[in-house]
Amino acid sequence: MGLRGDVSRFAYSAIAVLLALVIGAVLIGTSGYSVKEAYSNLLMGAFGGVYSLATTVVMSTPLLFTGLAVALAFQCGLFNVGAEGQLYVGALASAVVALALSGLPPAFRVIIALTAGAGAGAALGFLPGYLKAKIGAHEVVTTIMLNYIAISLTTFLVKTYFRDPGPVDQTVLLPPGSRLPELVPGTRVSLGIVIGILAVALLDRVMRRSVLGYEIQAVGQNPHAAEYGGVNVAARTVQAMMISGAVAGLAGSVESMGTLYRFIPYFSPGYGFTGIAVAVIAGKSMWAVIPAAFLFGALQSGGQSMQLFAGIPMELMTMVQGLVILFVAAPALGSMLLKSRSRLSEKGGGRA
Amino acid sequence: MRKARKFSVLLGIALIAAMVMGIGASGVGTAAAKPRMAIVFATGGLGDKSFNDSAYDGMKRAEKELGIEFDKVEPQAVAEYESLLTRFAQTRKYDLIISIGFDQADALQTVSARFPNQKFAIVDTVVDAPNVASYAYREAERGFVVGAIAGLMTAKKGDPRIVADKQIVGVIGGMDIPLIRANVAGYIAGARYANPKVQVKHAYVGHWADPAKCKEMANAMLDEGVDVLWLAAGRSGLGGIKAAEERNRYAIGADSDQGYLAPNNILTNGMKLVDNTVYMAIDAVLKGKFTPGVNLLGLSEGALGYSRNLVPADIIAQVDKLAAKVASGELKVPDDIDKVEPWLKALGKQ
Amino acid sequence: MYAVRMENITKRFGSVAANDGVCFAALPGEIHCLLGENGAGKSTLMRILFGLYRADSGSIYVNDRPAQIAGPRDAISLGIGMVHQHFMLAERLTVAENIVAGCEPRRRGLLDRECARRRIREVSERYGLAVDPDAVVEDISVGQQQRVEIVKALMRGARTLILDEPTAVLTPPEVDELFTVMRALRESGTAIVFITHKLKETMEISDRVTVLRDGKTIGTVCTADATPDSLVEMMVGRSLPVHDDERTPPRQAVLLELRDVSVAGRKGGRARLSGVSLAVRSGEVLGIAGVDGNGQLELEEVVTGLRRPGKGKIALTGQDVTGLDTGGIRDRGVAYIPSDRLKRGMVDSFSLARNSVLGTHRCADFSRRGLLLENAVREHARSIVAEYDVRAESIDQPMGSLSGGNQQKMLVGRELARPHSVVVAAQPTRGLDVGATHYIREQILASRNRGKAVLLISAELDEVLELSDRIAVIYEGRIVDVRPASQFTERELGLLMTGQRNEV
Repeated sequence: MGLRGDVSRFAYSAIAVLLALVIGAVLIGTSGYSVKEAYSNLLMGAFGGVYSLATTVVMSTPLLFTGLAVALAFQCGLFNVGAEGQLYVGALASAVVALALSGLPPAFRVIIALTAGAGAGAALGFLPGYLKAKIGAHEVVTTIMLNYIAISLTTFLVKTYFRDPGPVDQTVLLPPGSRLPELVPGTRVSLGIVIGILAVALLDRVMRRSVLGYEIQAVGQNPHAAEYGGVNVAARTVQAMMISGAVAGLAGSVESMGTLYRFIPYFSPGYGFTGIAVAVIAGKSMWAVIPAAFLFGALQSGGQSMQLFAGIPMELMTMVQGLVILFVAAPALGSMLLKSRSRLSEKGGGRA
Repeated sequence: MRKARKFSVLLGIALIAAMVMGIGASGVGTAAAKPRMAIVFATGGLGDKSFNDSAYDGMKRAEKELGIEFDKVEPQAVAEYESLLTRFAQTRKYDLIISIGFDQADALQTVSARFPNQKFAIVDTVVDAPNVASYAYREAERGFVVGAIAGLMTAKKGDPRIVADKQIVGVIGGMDIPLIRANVAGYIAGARYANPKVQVKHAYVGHWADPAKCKEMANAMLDEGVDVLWLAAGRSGLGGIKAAEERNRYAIGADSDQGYLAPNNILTNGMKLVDNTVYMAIDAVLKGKFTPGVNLLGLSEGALGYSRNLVPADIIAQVDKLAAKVASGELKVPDDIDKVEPWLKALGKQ
Repeated sequence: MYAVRMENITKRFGSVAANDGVCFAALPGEIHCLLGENGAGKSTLMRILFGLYRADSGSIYVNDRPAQIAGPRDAISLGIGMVHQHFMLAERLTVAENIVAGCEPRRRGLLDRECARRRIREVSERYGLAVDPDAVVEDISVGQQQRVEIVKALMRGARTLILDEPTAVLTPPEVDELFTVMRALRESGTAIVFITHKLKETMEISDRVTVLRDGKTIGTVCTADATPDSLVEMMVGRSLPVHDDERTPPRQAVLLELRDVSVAGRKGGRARLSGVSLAVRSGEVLGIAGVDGNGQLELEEVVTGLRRPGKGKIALTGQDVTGLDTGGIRDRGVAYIPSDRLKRGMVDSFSLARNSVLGTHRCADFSRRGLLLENAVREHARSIVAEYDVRAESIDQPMGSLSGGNQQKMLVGRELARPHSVVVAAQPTRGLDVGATHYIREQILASRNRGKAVLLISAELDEVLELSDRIAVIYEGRIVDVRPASQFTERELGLLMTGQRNEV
């Protein structure tokens, strides 16, 4: 993968977005809405003015983490469909810890709460990693199942132990010192985006320079050769899932500490799943997760205005967004699945 | 890869620059000829045949009768409320922005503080802010009315939809939260007040939009001999109605008239007249009577009620009398399940 | 009249000319060997003929008429068939389904199985190609799969049949069967293009030979006029020296020892290894002779820790290493050239540099505090490339882009560069051309001469005979005999390998 690969990948993605928008225009037009109004609102809603841009950034932030999480697992040849569940446990753990620590200085509170979120995500990532390494249970199946468990479990915990006395099932509002600082006043752009970019930089370095990254990639590319090279394949598989889970957990932390200021059951509009699309577009490059997350953040943020001011119904808007995901991500996803299938059949004999 | 990194960095710089330059340049709205309202629905979206749909009816009635225009939006998740409300408020062209549903409270609290000159209304919960009119309901009253209908109906003889000699009714709530618990408490109180022999089962789905699970729970209740079942469970309730229809028992709908879903089985509906509420809120603004703070509505304001559907005339007569007692304040319906039995005892109904 | 004729074919990949003005022609009813080292351009040329690549320039004639071949479909309609090195069969389908895929005989829109079966029988009987139309492909042997590919090509009307290194995957008896089929096809007037780099086979089967080197035609000769030496000279451009046979006398120290090692079979089947005891001493090559599939892979894996023995002990320089994983065993001084280099020996998407430290990446030389020392790694890769004559454009190119021979050189270089006392070389020259084979065998002998203990596992009897000081014969997972190499005759080995144990 070189420079040329990345550039052509971006060119391809750009064409795919355009194509999806053209088909979306046909859909919008034939449904009797104004295409011009719809798309000018999409554009303005994503980029026109401070609040729109800020919302785009706010919506990109969790996608940056979930996209990074899924991309990391890809590096180890793992398909982490469980980012959504990891996000929920991360969000709850951070919220609960941030509330519990209200006696400590804010900086400590925030750091410990973030660590708790990452830890919870890692713990949830451990399970599918361990099952994969020990009994060969496919991580796609186990992570999907764990999503249900995580989402229900967090809801249960909130209702049973951490409930706000008000009418709604949610935790108490975080006091200001337990929140991630706002970067742009009057918006919810928080320190989260900075943490996200730092995470990208750090993990890019880990993957490209460290022994751990080397071994994780070796396992991802050819587990047999990794084993031959003295790599503990099972341990790296578990670690890769845990790192991925930790990053997805941080997505939740940043939401509960920087955007919602509390944990609310069912708060996520599928950030974990959109993260898969983000990772697929980004491919092997960690840095490419940033623009990819931004693209989907912009679509979601612009989509709001499309719905608000162009009167486009939610279903139509979701369809346009789905088209973009389909066009941009489908070819890459297809080849990735094919690859993982052939790897799977190769491993058919089972490993020691 | 290097290129991608450079691209990312540039993107970041561009973003921050745009944000800094864009401060203060928010949209300048021109006053529209007609009064303009905005509504942010609850996450269930339109088509819930209940809460959101009812609110939408109220908006359309206001559009026709009060001559307003309005914009609407259906959020997909809680995380979106704040930005949607902000985008509406930012335009400064709406006379009133209405939030539907209690889970918008956080977002509205923040946004109302950010736009102190914008009028907001929220239906179904309370937001304490000088520019927010909160419309909440005396939930137990509605439960009481449909509970009374259920209690009287289950004692009827000769109706194939009634299980003979059992006298068991049920209620399934969407989530186990105080608001729904008040409904359930009212229902139990109403059923037992009208018919002391009745037995009342209750359960919660745990989700507003899981009809399959609700259907499963409904079937379990029907197995136990429940013949009148109230579904106070948002979109999940559709599953329970389906179950009652398949087994040919009575179901009671919630929020709006759901009779068309099962014309032979929907006995009545516990109406939360969100349409009336929304209409009242808009009317108040147009008349200059916008009242921030809590506006608690119930049977007496015409914001709660029941629909007649399949309710026999004799029961209607009895229930209307009971409702009048509640509206007049003569009967105070308990809003917690634990308080129901003491309340009945105090009234000598046990 | 030529069956096919290719003139001045040039094909470039980037800056490299895989074919540079190549001329080639095959007559009907001849077996024509296309001989050359790996990377000489043989496969490229034939892929052009079969329409898988398009030539940059040059022309192709089929039956003396100019032909435009834009894809395999065109090639097939012109009567050209190709059997690839890696078979293109759907494993879950039956032989018949595979053969008719793409040109199904249909009756009322449905696959006419009976008709398909009949036609397959006709073709297979005519050329002595026994295939069972109803067998599922994944259940039949590699040799049978190859026959299926040949039948498939013939049923599509091939009059010119290209076989890309067909013997690389076959056992010696299967090679004989293939040659019988090829002769039958020759009798019927089919032109056969036989791509190979093996001289012995070339001399045995072909009528004429065209030699390619570095993408150019060196010449076409009649096999009757050629000798193995003259062909080698055409292939590599020089004659190869005889291996340097100077050696230190075997010392007594046993560096690798297996005692009564057994490996159970899958689900209670026959044991893969039973009671194997071997000792390899410093300064000797112990060769394992045997027909492929008699426990060689298990032996290789058990010695290198990829598989745990069910029973028995393994010792390195006197220390018990039974049950250690591969990393642990290799860290105790084992250089390991795995039999399946693509699957085990390298990560093909990693660069040469990254592959050059696979297994040593945790050593203090190449990493510190969890970070790889990029410069040291690159330096190491450069030295292997230089020392082992690896032909690569850069140490940053992916390993998978090298030819097989160069991959193997890189791998052997990496293994011999790490500190070691024992060398486990499994099929070290499988699929390699003459030049690379020669080079790698020299390296193995050099290693022995430096006092290492070498365990050589090879399916090529020639190789075992050429390199070993002692030979152990393996049959059905047992060592049936161990003796100094000079005490075996080739015939005797052949009998032992096939289980006909004669008391000699």
